[in-house]
Amino acid sequence: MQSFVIDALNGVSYGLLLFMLSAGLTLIFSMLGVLNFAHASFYMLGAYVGFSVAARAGFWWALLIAPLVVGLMGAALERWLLRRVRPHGHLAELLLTFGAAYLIGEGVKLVWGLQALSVSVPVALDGPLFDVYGLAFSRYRAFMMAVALAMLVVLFAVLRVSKAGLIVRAALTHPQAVEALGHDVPRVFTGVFAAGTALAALAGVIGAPLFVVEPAMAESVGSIVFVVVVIGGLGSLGGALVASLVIGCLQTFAVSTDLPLGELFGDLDHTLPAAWSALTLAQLAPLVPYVLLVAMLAVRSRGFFGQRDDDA
Amino acid sequence: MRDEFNVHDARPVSRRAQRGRAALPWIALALLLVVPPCVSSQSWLVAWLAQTAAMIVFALSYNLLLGGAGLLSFGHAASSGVGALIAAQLFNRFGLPLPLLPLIGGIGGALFGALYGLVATRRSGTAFAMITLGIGELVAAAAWTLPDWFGGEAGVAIDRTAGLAVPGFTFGPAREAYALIALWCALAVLAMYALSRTPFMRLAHAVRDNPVRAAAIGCYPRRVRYEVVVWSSFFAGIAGTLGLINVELVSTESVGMLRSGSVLIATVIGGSGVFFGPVVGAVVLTFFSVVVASMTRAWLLYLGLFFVTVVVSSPDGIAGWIRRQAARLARDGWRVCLPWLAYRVMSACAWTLAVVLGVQWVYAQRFGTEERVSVLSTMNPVWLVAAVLCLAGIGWLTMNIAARRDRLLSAEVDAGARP
Amino acid sequence: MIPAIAVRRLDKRFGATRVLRGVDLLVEPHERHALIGPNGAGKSTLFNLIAGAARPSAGRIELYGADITRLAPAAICRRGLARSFQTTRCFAKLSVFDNLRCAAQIANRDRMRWWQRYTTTREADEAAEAVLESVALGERRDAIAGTLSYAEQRALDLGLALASGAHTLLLDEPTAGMNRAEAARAVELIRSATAGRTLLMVEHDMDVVFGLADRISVLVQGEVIATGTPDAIRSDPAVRAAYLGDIDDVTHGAAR
Repeated sequence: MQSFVIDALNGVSYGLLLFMLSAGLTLIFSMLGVLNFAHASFYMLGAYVGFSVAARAGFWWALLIAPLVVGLMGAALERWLLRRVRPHGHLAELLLTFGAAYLIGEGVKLVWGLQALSVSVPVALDGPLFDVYGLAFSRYRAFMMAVALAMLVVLFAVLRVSKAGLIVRAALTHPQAVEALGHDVPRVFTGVFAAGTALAALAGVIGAPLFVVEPAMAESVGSIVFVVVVIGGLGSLGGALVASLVIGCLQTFAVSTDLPLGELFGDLDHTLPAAWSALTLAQLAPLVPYVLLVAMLAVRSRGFFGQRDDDA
Repeated sequence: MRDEFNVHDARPVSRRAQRGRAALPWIALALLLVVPPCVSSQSWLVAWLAQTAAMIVFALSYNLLLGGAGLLSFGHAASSGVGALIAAQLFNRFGLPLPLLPLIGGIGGALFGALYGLVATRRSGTAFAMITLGIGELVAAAAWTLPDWFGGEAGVAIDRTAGLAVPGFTFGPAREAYALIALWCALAVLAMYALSRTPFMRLAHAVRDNPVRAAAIGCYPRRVRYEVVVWSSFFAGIAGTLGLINVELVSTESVGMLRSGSVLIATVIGGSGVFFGPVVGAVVLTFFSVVVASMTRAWLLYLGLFFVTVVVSSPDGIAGWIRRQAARLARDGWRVCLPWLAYRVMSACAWTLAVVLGVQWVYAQRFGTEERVSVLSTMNPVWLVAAVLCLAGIGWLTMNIAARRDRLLSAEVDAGARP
Repeated sequence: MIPAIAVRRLDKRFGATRVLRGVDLLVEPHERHALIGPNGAGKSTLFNLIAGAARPSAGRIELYGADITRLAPAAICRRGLARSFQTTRCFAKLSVFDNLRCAAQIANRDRMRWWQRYTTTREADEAAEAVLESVALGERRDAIAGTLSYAEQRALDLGLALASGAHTLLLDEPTAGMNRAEAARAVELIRSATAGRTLLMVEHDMDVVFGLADRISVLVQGEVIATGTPDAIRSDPAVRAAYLGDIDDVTHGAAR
């Protein structure tokens, strides 16, 4: 029971981290119509830049500087490359972000080397926050959840309440009208893209102490984030939240379960080949998001809160 | 796009010239596949060509999805890997004749396509791309996790000589295997070309261009997409099996995301709008992954830079660019186009040199003695920076000259100064 | 006699806005029926609902008695109801002839063996040729559809609807954006092409409407306020008040 509560909290914190990533991705997709394939690469960049800053100035400065730096890089990408490709359509934009992801991966290897880096949790946040019947919930994870929730609230407030958010929401569906009103829509686009990548970088800085920082991290996290947005429904922030939490919790539970597949199947165990039923759920944990994707598509192809579109 | 103009302004070309022009890529392909192994006996050449042949089939199968039905897939290697796996398992179990193996692999790939297409074709566009990413990752992760089938880390190996004997061939030596691979490559290319001319493919193009309109004329877009997925997976299975015959192994790499990414890069670089585009892209890709890779570890970076350059400056790929220049040549004649072309080539060379110098120097700094081109690490950085800037400057200047001539030319055309 | 198209108590809401309020419409077989009304009355919405591009909130749509309310657009087309689009859509990268061949190919599917999708489709090609001539695009046969002029694209759009072998046509503002001469040509084209077929069209050009239509329905604020022959509609006071206009009746004016 106690491990269930801890697992649940860990799952929620992981899910909220996923949400930080998928929220930025959804924002960019809703606004620019292009799925930023390089989003996870910016996450990785945030982790690496955060590592470098933290090594010199400490974690808290990293938390501030890394998102700024990466946000600027994202703005540069949008302003100089993505905008040039925009007339050729969404497919070309997606391909460009794909190429950017590739290049960022190589660049990271070049600047920081191939080996995995370890980022240490800052002293102030180290240690347990509270105990649940003897099992500890780490303070750092609570901090992560707090930042994610704060980001959620700020995002909601900015989009719903502020004037800038109003312009952004209007430009989402009627960019020409907004432009006719005198607002610089291309600059709004650049701003949103920069904000999205900055969010990804923030997630990278925060997630770095918990997960391995290596050049391959973009690919593994990236696929999960894209699966999250499809399951949640492309373009829906609420769907991204629900999907992130579901996947976060399910994967965390799977990883911490040593239940072999055979036991799960119970009486039907004899239908599985021997080697399969010996597989534990922990070993199958990496498959969880993708199996969920297939299941969701089979049942409700637009995801949790996606728009129904029969064709394109 | 600077090079845009109406293709119909070209002077009318005679039937014979048209047919000759259409036969050119076929001849080039045949020469590529046949001539080098006959002329030289270097083993690395045969190995490279075998990889190229398999990649050609792979990229063309990918273009059935991308250019044919407008579907971008990030998990295409799953189809080819699963097809190769099924072929390998059946070969090891039943000792089939090797020449038939690609067909078995194709059918295996098609079965996999029939399965994943059920789920993936429920959406199209960006959602389809993400779904194929998820399915590709699922297969890649399953290959690592599930024992038996994928043979774990070692993969499933075959012995080319172990199949049902074919008189005169053992397929042990690499050249014999290459002959089989090249033959199947030619067959597959012909088959895909024929497929691309069928009324069915026309419908797929219609669904690609405008799915709503296609529905309004009675076509079910989802069914058409599904069929294209199955055909594409069939040929991908053939491609995977050709690779299997070449290296005698199918492993987790065969279904990995790196391979899915590489076929996408090859097809986009080559150009998805022309049938032979992916062929060009495949040749370019294997050039990078075999030749350049043997010279420097920066080859992935170069490939990525080249890819981004193509996407930004010529989204219809190399083949598309060639087609536009050919039409332009036909319209304006050699004398006008030659200086412009010369400037472009000079610009490209200068930029390439600048980039190569810079990248190699940086890599030499980072990876030190492992880099073979280590002369740069001893070079004085000041000289290097000067050289890079100089070359970049030349590149930029010639590019602008070419662009200015471009503008003048199109202004003249618009003003009707030319007939 | 079973009406070709029967719309019964059709309701459509977008959120809280009720765009169609219990629309009843009957189109008899082989008749040319025009749907007119001010902007925002719901005409395009009604078209989308009939053609299956959207789902109604309530009500039924019948094609020769068969319920087509919840069918997909492709299924409705296969039953013989084809539409054209207000913003022209065709297959921009295919040639004009290939555009028509696609539609003809699907129309011909019952007479083809399954493998013929991969071989020749001679009957479909001949049908496409016929349609090509009837919409007067013969010289633009091999032109890429994306390069056609606006009027040519509208003609192609009509051609696609014709080539799909439909017996009932929905035309959404077929002469929009055309000058006098082009509109007159388009009207002739429509007249000859729809001989023997049923036609329901939305139009704003009153000359076209009164010249072409056998019966007219007037849609105002999501309701059909009048249906009848052109003369009856012309003299109907409610219609004049709401749409056609009357110099004495300024206060009611062109409603929303």
